[in-house]
Amino acid sequence: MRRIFKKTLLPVVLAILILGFWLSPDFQQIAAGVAIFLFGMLMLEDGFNQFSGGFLEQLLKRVTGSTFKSLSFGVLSTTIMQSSSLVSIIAISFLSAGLISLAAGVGIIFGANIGTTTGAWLVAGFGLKVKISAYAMPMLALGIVLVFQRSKYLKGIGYVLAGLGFLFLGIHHMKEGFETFKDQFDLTRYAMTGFWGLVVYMLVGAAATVVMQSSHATMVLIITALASGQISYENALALAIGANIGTTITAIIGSMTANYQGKRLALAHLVFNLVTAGAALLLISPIRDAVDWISAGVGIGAEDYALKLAVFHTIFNVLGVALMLPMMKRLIAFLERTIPDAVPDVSQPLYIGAAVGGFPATIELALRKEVAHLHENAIELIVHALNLHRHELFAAKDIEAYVAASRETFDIDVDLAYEQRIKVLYSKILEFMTTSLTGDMSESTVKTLHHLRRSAEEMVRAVKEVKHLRANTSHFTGAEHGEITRLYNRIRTELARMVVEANKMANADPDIRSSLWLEQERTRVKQIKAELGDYVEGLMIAKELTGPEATSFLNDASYGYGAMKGIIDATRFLYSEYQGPMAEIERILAADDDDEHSADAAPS
Amino acid sequence: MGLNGIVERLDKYQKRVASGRAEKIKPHHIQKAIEKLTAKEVELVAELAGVTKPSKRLRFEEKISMIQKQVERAKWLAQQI
Repeated sequence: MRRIFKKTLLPVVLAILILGFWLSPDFQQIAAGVAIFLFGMLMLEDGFNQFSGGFLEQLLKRVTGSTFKSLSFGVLSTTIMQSSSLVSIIAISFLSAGLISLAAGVGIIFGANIGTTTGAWLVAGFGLKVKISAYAMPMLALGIVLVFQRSKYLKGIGYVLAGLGFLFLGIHHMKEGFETFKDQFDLTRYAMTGFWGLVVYMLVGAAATVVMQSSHATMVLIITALASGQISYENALALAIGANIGTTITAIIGSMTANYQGKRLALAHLVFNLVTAGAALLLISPIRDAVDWISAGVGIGAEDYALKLAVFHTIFNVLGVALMLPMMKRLIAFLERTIPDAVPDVSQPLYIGAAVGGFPATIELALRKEVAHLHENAIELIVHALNLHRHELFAAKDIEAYVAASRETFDIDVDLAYEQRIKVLYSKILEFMTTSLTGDMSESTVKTLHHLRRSAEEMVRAVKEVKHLRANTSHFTGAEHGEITRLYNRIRTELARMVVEANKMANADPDIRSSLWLEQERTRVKQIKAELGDYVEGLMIAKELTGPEATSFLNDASYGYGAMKGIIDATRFLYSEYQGPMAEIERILAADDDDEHSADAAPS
Repeated sequence: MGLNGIVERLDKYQKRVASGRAEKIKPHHIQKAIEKLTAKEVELVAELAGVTKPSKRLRFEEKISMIQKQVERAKWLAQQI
C-alpha cells in the first residue's frame, strides 16, 4: 500500500500542478513562489554546510549553549531582522546542517516569538516598517558573485546571501499570486461576538498571514481596521493571535527540504504558536485587563488601540514562552517521538560528501569515519557468512566452542550483500578520495589518505576471500563430517578471533590505542598457516583425509588466511598513527618475521 | 629476537630524519608508546587471570609476551635515539 502511494505520489503531484497552471495564472505565481522559496532554502542550507566544522559552528555553539543564550539569540536576531519567519527558517537550516542542537533551535524559536513583538511596537509607535525584503535583489546579485569564488567561506557566504535572496523572491511571488485573494479579507464581513467571534477572527488572522506571507502585514491591516472602527478591539486581539499561528507556515514550507531535525523544529514552532494561541484565547479577559493596566501605567491612552495591540502582542508571546519554557524537555521528547531519527541507509556513505568541503582536517576525519563504517558493514557480512552472530561472538567466552556449536547455515545471499553493502560504499570512498586528492594537500595528508585507502582495500579483500570460503564451510560445518569438519571449524574460529580483535581495537580508547597491539595477530596468521599445513599432511599420511579433500580444504584455507590478514591489516591501517614521531615508532617497533615463534629477549 | 629488521628500520628512519623527511623521535614519544603497550599488557594479564582453558591461556601468554617484547624494544630504541 505504502509502495503504491509512493509510486503514485509524484505523477499525482505533477498532474495537480499542471491542472492548476492551466486553470489559474495566480496558481502559477504561487507555485513558482514556493519553488523559488524552497530553492532558496536549499542554497541557505548548502551555505551553512560550508561553515560546518569551522568558526560559525564554534560561534553558534557558544551563543546557543544554554536555553537562556539561545532564547536571547532568538530575541536579538529577530529584533534586528524584523522577521520571526526568517529567523525560524535560518534556525531550521542551522539545525539541518548540524550546526546547532534541537534544544538550541527550540530556544531560538521561543526567542523569535518575543523578538517579533518589537515589530508591532515599531509599526504602532513610530509608523516604522523595516522591510528587509528590499535587499533581496542586491543579496541575489552579490551572493551569486561570491558563489563562484574559490574560497570556501566566501562561497558559503555567497550561498547564504543568494539563498536569502531567493527566499524573499519566493515570498514576493507567493504574495503576488495571493493578491487576488487579499480582497477577500474584508474584516467586517466576519463580525461576530463572544467566544466563536474570537475563534473565527483568529482563523481569519491565520489565513490572512498565510496569504500575505507576513504577520507584520496582518498587524498593519488589523491596526488600520481597528483605527477606522471596522472591527472591535476584541476582534483585533483575536486577529493578532491568528497572525501568530499563520506565521508558522513559512517555517513549515521551509522544513520541506530540511532533514528530520529541521522538520522537528518546524513542528516545535507550530506547537509553540498553537499552545500560545490557545492560552491567549482562554485567558483573553485577564490579558486584556493586563493590557489596560500596563497601558495606563506607561501612559498609553485608553483609545490608542494600535499601541495597546502592541502591548497585547508582547504580553501573549511572553506568556507563551513562560508557559512553554518549563515544558521544553517534554516538548523535545515529543518532537523526537513524533518525528523519529532517520534510519541511516548503511549501504550509502554516512560521513563523506560535498558537505565535508575542502579542508584537509575535515576530509581526513570524514574519511576515517567512513572507512570505519565500511569495516562495520564488512565485519557484519564476514561474521554472517561464517554462520555466526556478531553479538554472540563478541560475548562468547570460548570462541572455539561457540563456533563448533553454530551449525545452522544462515539464509543470506552473500554476493548480493557484498554488492549492496560493501561495493557501493567502497566505490564512493574511492571516488571521494580521488576528488579530494585533486585539491591542495600536504604530503602528510596524502599519506594519511593512502593509509585509509589501504584500510578499505584490505577489508574489502577480506570479504571477497570469505565469499569464496562460504559454500564449503557451510557444507562441512552444517553436519558432522569428521576431521574435515574440525578443519573448517578451525578456519572459522581463527577468523572469528581476528574479528574479535578488530572489534576490540574499534572500541578501544583512542588515546591509548596502538596498532602495535595487533602484532601478535599479524604474525599468528603465518603460524596458523604453517600449523594447518603440517596437520593436513599428517591426516593424509594417516589416511584420514583423501587427496581431493585435502586439496579442496587447502584452497579454502588460503582464502581464510587471506581474509585473516585482510582483517588485521585493514584494522592496523585504520588505527595506526599516520604521521609524526609516533608513526615512526610504530613502524620501527613492528614485529619481524622471525618473531612468530620466539618470545625471548630484548635486543642487547 | 631478530634485531636485523628493527636495526634496518631505525637506520632508514635516521636517514629520513637527516634528509628532513621525518620528524625526530623524542623520549616522551617513546614513553607514550610504552604507556600504550603497558595499558594493553595490564588488560591482557587481568583477562588471563580468569582463563582456565589451556589453549586459550597459551594464546594470551603469547600475546602478552609479544607486548613485553615490544616494550623492551621501545626501551632499546630510547637508548639509540
